[in-house]
Amino acid sequence: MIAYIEGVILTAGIFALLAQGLNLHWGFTGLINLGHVAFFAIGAYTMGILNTEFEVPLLPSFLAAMVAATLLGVVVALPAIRLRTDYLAIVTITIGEIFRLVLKSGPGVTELTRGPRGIRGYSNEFFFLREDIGLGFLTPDQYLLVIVWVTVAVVGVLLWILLKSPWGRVLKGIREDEDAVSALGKNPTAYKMQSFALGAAIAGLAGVFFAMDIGSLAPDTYLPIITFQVWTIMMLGGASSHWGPIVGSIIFWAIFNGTLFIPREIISGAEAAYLRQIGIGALIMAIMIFRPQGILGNREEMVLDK
Amino acid sequence: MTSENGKADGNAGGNAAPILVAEDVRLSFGGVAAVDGASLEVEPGKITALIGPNGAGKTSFFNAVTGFYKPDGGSISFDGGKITGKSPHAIARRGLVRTFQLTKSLARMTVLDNMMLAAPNQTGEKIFTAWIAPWVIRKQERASREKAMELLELFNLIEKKDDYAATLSGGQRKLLELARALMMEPRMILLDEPMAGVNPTLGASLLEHVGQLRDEGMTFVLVEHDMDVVMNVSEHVIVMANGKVITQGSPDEVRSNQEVIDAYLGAGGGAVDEAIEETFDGEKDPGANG
Repeated sequence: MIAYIEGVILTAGIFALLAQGLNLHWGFTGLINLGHVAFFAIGAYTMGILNTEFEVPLLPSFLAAMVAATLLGVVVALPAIRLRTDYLAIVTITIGEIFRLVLKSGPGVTELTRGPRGIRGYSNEFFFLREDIGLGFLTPDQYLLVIVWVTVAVVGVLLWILLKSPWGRVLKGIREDEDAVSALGKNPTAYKMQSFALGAAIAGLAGVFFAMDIGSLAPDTYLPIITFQVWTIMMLGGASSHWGPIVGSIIFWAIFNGTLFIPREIISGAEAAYLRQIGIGALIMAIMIFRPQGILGNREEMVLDK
Repeated sequence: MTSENGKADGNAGGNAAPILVAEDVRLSFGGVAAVDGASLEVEPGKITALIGPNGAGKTSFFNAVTGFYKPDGGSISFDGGKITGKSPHAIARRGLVRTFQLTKSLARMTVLDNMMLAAPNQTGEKIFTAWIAPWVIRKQERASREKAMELLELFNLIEKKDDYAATLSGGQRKLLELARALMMEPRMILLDEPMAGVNPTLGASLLEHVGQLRDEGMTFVLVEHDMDVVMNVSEHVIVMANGKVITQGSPDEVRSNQEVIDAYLGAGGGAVDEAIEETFDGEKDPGANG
């Protein structure tokens, strides 16, 4: 039971990271990214492949995962960033799916990703390390949980500093009106690119932790549903609120897993599985109706017209 | 050395080198030539009005000059440098700043943030330098905040500084846009219909600011439909029709020009004189006509 709750909190931390990246894209820059899962996947796969195929040590492979996600962010951004709103949404959702299919069956790529059979055995070094850094008293799950949540906090603080800076002010300007920002002598394309790349890097790091959590990599883990879960989390917590992604993620996963604790005399396991989907759906509707700005969102910002 | 003391652009002699030169600018959308070989020059330190009937290509011309649309042909130079086809932010940085017909106040940012965003060359605006040297950023922020507050004071927006820009009235937004443009210390400002949707009191105040800035040496070009404004405020009027410049001159010259009358009303006709009277006098309101 405790272990189960720990697992939920761990997942919540990983998704909080994902939502922090997406919040940078959408909440603060106004970029509709429906392919967030691709950055999550490339982080996981880069680390996994480097660690197993090329025996790259832990820390460099973590960094490489973030770099790879950043690069993918830039590559996606290059053509996509010139597009606005719904077009960007279409391009990003497509890229997310293309990326998954390439991992699964791309000629040449499957030699590295092993296609649907997936990759295993990259996580040992990470978990052995806990003895060395004096966290041996924690279970592997607890150890990962601590590292993930420390990362969430660090990323949260760094983003907070960055978004309070004049750089963050330009992003918000772009969110409000790109043309106005370029009329003020700032290059919106450069800022959108930076926002996209940074948010992608954060998602890539989340991908690494997720890979450590589940212990194997398979392309079909990275379905578009993950992107939409992250969107739900962000809207729930409040887009463009700094700590919203964290609160949103905890609540989302509490509800998602909460149905398990309903006694089996009341509903069967299968019914509980349906119930949680219904619960999430009802939650989204309730948020949109009663608190469209999200839990930590700013009501005033929400109702203001452009 | 006695006759001229280096302030050549201050007088109305018309012998100063033009600050903006557009030659044969062309811009079309599909088969429609919105700007069809427009050429004009703008003298520094003056208020130039760009008028013309709806669809004459005034706003398209503005967009071509400021880089929001890439012109299909022709050349545009500003302050001696070629700016044809450059991106909007690059042109703005050179000191040619525009406002928009439908104001682009950044709605969910405060009035003060709107102003501070416009400050040029900020170290804290670069993603890598935003982290390091927070004291440099703080110093720059303090300086631009001071400047912003001065301008907000001048434009009577100081009490609104912490409000979201979305809460401002149409006229206040126009004022904010002008004040925000001034944060960039431009050489020249293009105003796209500054009086549209502005109440007469705020409109008068806006024009007063424009006049004052001109006296300090700023160059303005404004697209305007309100003929009273054009005739009272501007020293030079350029008339566009069908994507071309058809005539230009002082407000009085333009007012009586037959080509202008034709352009506004369609070629010749019996009641033209009466109608033109209405065009020029019809929009008179007591507020703007002091």
